[in-house]
Amino acid sequence: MPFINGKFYMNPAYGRALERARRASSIWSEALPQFAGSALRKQNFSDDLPSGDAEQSSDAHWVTINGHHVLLDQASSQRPPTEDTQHPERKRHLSARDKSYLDKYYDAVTVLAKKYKVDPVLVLGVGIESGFGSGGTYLRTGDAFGMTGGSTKRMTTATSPDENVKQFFDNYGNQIRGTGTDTSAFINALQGRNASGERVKGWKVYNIANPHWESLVNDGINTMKKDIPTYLSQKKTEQSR
Amino acid sequence: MPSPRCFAVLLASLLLSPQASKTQVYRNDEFGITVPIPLGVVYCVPSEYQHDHGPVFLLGSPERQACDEIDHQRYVLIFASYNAVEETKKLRDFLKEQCTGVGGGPCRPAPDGLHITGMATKAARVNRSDGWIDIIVVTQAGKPDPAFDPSVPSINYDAGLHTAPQYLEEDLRIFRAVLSTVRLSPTE
Repeated sequence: MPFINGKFYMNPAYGRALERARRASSIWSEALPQFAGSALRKQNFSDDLPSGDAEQSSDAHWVTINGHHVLLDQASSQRPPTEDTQHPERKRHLSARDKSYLDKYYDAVTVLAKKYKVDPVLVLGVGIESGFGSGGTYLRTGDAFGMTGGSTKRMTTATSPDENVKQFFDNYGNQIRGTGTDTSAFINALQGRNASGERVKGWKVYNIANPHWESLVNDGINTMKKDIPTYLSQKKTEQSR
Repeated sequence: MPSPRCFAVLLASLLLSPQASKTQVYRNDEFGITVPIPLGVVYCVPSEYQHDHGPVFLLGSPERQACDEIDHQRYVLIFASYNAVEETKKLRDFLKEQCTGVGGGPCRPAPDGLHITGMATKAARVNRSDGWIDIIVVTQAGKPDPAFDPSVPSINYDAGLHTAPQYLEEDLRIFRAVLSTVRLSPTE
């Protein structure tokens, strides 16, 4: 019987085409019939198609398992491991911007993060607020953590990364104390909530625009998780020369 | 054809009308956002201790205290941030990240015609597991940072509608009005 990717199809050619289409458009759900027509065509997501889609179909082959004729998709089941999956500690590339940010902030954050029992990676991730020390506001104020901004009337200013890091811990150190490597607890604490997500009376709120702000900081933390091993590795190499 | 004098009288009467006098404009110098505040919404004024990423407008006339917990409110917002990570530096990737990171689900087709005038935009809808709906429109602008990636704009903009199914059509009207009147012109 023709089973394709675990599904039965009376017509194997139709089944293969449907399964290919499902893979290619996997970001769309089939649960929204009211929008599945014209809007889908108008969205330009051609770049979203998996780059190896053509190879996936050509690599697929039929085998018989327990009497069932099954199409195996080699490209998806035997895709070679990427650099990231083989070595999650390695980052592909450390941008000049991120290196400059870590040169300024890594040591200062690490010292105080240890005191407050929080992973420095989490604190450094908040630097996404300033584009990791690259935004024009940072160049004017010296505040990498976006503790204020928007209006030019009220800005946090710092004369050095050390001072800026101290400002961050003075403001939020007690809230993030002891969050360790727990990203969720760390972001909750910055937003004035305990690890369970309950509001704590008297705690400051880092940014009102949650969950957009929380998603932003989460992205920043994920970037630092990839950047810092590369940064430390490069630093070690430089020091050994 | 009306004379220039007629135009002047018409313009003056519009400017002096009660509606014109009530219209306030939100401005953000850092990210170059200018948008008239729609009538009937609650504008959440950011605390002086918070980084202002853009305006949040609550819909449905809630109390101002509702600004403290916007997750459970209907709102329209514009959220700007520096384009600073690999995962969001291209517009299509930024949209996907917003769907999963903010909406907690996959991108689905957005209602037709959601765009910001003069900008390259992408839009999607997320049906959240808690029953809320997020409509997301993203765009980018600003001078690229060569120390990060010289091929991508420096600022990401996310315009969002957070609403409940029964208010979707009503709230989409306000969202469309915001999209049609917002101006994004960063100086950096």
